[in-house]
Amino acid sequence: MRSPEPPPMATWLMTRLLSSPARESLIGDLVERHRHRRARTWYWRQALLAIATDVLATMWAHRLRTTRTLIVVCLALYGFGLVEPRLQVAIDASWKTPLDDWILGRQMYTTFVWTRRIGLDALTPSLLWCSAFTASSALAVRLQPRQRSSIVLVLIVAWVASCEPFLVQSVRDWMDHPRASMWFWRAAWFWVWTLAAVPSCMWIGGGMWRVDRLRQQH
Amino acid sequence: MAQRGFPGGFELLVLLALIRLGDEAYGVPISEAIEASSGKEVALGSVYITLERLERKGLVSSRLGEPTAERGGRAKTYFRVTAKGIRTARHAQHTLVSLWTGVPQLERGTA
Repeated sequence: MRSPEPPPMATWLMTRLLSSPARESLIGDLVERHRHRRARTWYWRQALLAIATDVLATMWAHRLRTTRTLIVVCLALYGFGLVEPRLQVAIDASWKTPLDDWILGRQMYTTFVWTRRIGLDALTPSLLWCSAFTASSALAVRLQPRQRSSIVLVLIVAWVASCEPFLVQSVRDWMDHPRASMWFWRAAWFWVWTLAAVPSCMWIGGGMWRVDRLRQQH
Repeated sequence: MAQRGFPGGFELLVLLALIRLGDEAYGVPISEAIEASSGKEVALGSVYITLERLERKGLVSSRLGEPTAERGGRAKTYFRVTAKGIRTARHAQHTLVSLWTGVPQLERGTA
């Protein structure tokens, strides 16, 4: 399929994720070639290849700092994992237990089931881990400020890749129990959490909206 | 292990395309020249990464052009080969040709 305008999403991703000093020229070249009989799929392929090449080249050029940053982030998340259960119990005691007692005290069993379906019981750990991922991304960027886009992208890819077996399992569970809506909600929550919430937290923690500041650095 | 200062395979392709194109070379004609000679699609991102590496080695210099509407208001970066780049390409040519000649398997019409 051909269109005179290149896919804006691909251009936006390149604007945010390419750290090359010649980023604007590269995007301009792709726009120019796209206008001369190139398809949207070609533009997308070129954009993704440009991002992957840029990230790998940046990581390789700063491999020692990148390794150090990734080790520090992993240790920070591991340390948080040790204290998270205690934090969760303390926070849940302030809102979840009283809410459950209130709902069950009025014999609102349907409401209680729906609080489970919409994942209200998992709200505290979800928010705690989202905060941890935001903080770890901010820490990584502080350790490696000039490779911000590369390091945030690597963290997101590593996170999604590490969740891949669970993502597949959640779909299998749902397909094995097509009539039970609970499995659908479980799968849906897991997908939203893995592919939207955590990557968004890493994106925000890494300060990826500050594209103009990144340009000035170069 | 690659010899220090000897350009890699893709670096040499980009360098030769730049020499052919002269002073008005930028990403689009460079990638088109490589595609025309190799018959394979070239990733523009790889061309730019290679050009940056060649520039760090002092084999290529760059200058920023004016933004144009056709490119969504983005400027072209023009590249040209430096004297050191020419010397490096010539050295690579001598090395490759001396290795090439006298090899029966690489003679035309064999294999």
